[in-house]
Amino acid sequence: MDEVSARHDRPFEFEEQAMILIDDRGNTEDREVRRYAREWDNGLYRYLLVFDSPAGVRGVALLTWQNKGASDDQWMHLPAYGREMKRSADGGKRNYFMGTDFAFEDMTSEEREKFRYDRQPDETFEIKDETGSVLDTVDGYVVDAYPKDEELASQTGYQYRRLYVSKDRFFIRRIDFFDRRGRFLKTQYSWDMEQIEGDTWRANRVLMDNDKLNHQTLIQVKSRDLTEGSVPARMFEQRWVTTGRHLR
Amino acid sequence: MQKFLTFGVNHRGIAIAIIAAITIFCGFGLDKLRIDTSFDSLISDNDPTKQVYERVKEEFGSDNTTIVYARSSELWTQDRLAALEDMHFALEDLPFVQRVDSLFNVRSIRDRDGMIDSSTVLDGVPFDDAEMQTARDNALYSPLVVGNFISADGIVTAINVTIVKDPDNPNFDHYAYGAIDEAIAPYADQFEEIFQVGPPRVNADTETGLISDLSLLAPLSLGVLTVTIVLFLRSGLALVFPVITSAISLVWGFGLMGYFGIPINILSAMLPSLVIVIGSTEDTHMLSTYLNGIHSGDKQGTGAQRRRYAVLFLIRHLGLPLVLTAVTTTLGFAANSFAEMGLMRNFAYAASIAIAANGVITLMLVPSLLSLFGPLRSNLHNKSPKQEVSDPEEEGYRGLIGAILKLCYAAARHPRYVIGGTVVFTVFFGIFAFQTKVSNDPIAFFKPKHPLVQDVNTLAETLSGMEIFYINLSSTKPDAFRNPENLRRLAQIKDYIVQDGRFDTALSIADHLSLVNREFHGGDVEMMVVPDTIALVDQYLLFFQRADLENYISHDFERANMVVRHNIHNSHDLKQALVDLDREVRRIAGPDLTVNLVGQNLMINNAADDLIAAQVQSVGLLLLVIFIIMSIVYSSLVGGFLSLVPNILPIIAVLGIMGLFGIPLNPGTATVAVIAIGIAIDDTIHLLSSYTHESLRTADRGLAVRRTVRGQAVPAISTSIALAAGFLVLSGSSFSIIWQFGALSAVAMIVAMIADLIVTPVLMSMVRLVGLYEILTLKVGKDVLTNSPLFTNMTSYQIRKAILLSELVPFKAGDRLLEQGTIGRDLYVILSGSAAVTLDHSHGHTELDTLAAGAVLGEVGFITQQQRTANVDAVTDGEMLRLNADTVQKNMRLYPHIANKLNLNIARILGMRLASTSNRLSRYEKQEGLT
Repeated sequence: MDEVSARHDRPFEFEEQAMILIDDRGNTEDREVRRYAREWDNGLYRYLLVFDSPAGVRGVALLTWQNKGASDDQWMHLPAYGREMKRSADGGKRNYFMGTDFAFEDMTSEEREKFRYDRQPDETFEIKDETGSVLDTVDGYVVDAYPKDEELASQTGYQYRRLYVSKDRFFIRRIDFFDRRGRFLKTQYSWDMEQIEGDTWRANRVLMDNDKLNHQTLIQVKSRDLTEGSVPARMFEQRWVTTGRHLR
Repeated sequence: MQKFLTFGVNHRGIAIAIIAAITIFCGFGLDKLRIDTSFDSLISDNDPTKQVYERVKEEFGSDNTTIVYARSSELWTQDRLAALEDMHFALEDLPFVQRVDSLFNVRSIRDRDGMIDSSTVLDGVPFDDAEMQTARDNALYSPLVVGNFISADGIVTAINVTIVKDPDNPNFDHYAYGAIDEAIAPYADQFEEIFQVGPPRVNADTETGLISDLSLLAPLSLGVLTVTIVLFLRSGLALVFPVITSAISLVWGFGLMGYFGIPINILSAMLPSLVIVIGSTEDTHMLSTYLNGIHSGDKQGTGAQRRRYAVLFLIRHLGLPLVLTAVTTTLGFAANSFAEMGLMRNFAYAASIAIAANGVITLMLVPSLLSLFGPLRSNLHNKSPKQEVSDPEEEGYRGLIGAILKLCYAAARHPRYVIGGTVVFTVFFGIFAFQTKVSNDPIAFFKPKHPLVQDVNTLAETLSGMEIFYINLSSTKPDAFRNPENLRRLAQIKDYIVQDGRFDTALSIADHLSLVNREFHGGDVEMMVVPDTIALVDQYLLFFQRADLENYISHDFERANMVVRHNIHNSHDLKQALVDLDREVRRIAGPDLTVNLVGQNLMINNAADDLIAAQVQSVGLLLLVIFIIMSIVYSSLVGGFLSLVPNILPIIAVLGIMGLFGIPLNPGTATVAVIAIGIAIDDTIHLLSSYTHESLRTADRGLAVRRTVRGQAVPAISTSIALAAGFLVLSGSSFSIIWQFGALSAVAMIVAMIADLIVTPVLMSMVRLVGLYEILTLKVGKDVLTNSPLFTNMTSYQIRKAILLSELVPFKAGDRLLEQGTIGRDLYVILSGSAAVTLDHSHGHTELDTLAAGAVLGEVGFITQQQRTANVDAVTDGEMLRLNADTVQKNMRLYPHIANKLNLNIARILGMRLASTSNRLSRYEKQEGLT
């Protein structure tokens, strides 16, 4: 897992994404979002997510600060409600994020020391798209990630996650999520791989296929910037949002 | 018909073999028989909301929801909640479950000191006391949760299990009920009370009740049958026949149902009782007549001869009425085959098949069996033998029957009182009849003390009613329900529902958005309102998963769905509440939104209206058919009408009692009227048939009526009491609709009996009613009539009408039929025997003519009131038909054609008589040498 982190973690990251919600009948809801991430002290990250479309949610922003040994701080800005940022109460790690199939904890970086990683036999696994067609079969290592920190265990929505790491690039191409009772819940697939620099890769498409809710969320990355200039530190303050500077 | 009726006697072996073969064939059909307790059978095929319902169900999810109720005063402890969570997941694992909603996945959005807390009410079992307390607070805080998933006192919780029924599995409900029960059973001991209610439970309990009905009611009916038969016929052997015929009829009935794919339902579960009770009345009539035959036959013959005589006696006397009663009873049950409700239709099919089978079996088998094993001694006749008594009033029946007979005779003497009383009775019950309400509700089918009904009420009292329906609003405008204006309409509809108070809860997307709005404003209850702007609606919606809202809003926001729960199990009240709701919803929705109130529950209740239509249709149809049949049998519309009166009275009584005591018209009670007619007409047919016999024997109608009543009282009273008792047996059923059916049918039987013995005789004595033509043609042959000069050139219809105005007069050899010099206005037609015409004159008397069958006499007096011109004396025994000039004149005004022909024929007879007289005169003159 250290190799995975070493190869692909980056301190600065900005992405323009199309976020497509797909229900069990194939109805879709398209959103456009910007996602900013910046590594702070101690390897902890801060995130800012901004909605650009549809028009009704334009300007909605979510600011997240990871905290050492404590739950994350999170503020939400609903422009239609007012200029203020509304603080989210803690304990929301395992809640789904804004109607998507991603939980908050799926979207933040993983503190590796809080998990126990159990190596499983290697496997050739499949990557599927939103229609269920197999796009690729990948030779990989299989690792089960269990929370070992007690507090984390009480907060996470998962008993464990099964990570499928491609042997060639040490990239997590697939994650199977198992709920707190150990039952299969959902799968995340990553494909449309793009080499950023050196050994660092990114997937331009990420699908979360929620088996339990019969719902899917597909993220398509339209553009990406890994330079520090794209995610200046002041961006991750409430004032940035309340003064409307997050708007385009 | 006689051939069919005597077939069983003349070809015993073949008859028994045919019946055995059919019985074996039908026996194999029993295997294919299935039970149907589904709600679909309670819904009209043509319900106009059915299509919309299917569409809404497809889009917003099934309304087939089972609610698992769990109560524990220690609910908020780790053990209980862990059990609850395990149950939630165990239910979710069932293959037919579409979704499970409980405290573990229902959303809670709450302000906490300015911070927004959005999560599920219970996100797993809380780890410590503080978390437990928070979870309990969250549950009791949300208006979306209280009353739906947690009781106000926090000790009762519910898991709502939405089910998708497998249409290919006929036993689905039973299976689903069992599977859900199995899923919750391991955790049951954690709770003080736990149960499931919902369509699978209702269907499974219905099936259980149905099977217990089947196994309880049939033996009970047999018991009642035994007692009544032994009591009235005093013959142990007499019991064997009804038991054999009922058993075979049931094999035929259920076997054919198996072959035809007609399922057993809660109504047809009473079929064994009905067949035993109704079938045995025919048997009782037959045995009673057979015993009369034994009694009146030659006592010296061999057993076989005496039995044969008695069976033929039985067929002669009962043949026509037996066929008629079998047909009318079958029609009574079949009348509901046009009902739009599957339940009633299938019962109509099942019952008419079984009752028709019973008729065929009885008519074929009982004569066969009687001719083989019939009793040779009658305990009915062990007193002084009944001889022709001049007037039955002088003959003593003692005890109850004697008292009833006295009452009947007394009533017959005071026709005005009887008619007046009947009118008062009709008006009184008629008024209440109009207050009868309809009901079609599967829960109301059960008795109030049934555990299911208790559980349903417990659920409704602590949470919300089990019944669910949807208020579906749709717009043609895109994103209509992102618009606060439309969302406010939803909120207004909810306000109306809350204020109205008849329904328990209503939830829509407006409640969800209002809740977020409230919590964004610090939990201020004043802010429990729909957000002001479309943008705010959109932004609040980010707090919800699609799964949170899929029951309430379409993906494109063009259609919104409000889920309403209630516990109204009375169609009348529900209908009223729905009419009001529908009006309010339409008013609030305005012209741009399309409104539909849909749900299985509503369709079942809609079908209640069909009960009225089915009732009117089937009763009307049956009365019409009976009217037509009886009018034809008696060649008289009056006869047809007469047959109806004693059958309409019980219906009025039954409907009146229902109105008076608040018993609703439901699928059970809606069948009472037709079945009551079908059965009650039997006694009427026997009564009228007997009256025609008696009328032939005497011109005194009062006497004929009394004789009829005396003869029919015992069978009428015994069968009515046996039927009433048999119907009362149904009060042992698990279902209120069945015991209501039983009690009302019993009332109908008693009222029909009273009407038959008191009202019908009074009406009979007022009109001339004789099915004479049939009897005459049977007796003397059609030729005698058509060849008679009186009926020359007349059609058989015209002859029949003329004969209906006549009376049958028997004569003995030597009787003087006409006396010269007396005045009389009667005309006679000799039917059998012969008579001599003589002329008295100063020299003695001259024999003028001999008259044989077909001859007409008294025609001169008939035309002009003058002295009889000759004597007519009977030479042999015989019978003649008497037509009275006044009667004919009075009654023939309506039939000028017939009167014309009759007059023409009389004129022709007179002309011929004149010709022969002149002839004779000229001969006489020639003889005397006068020319």
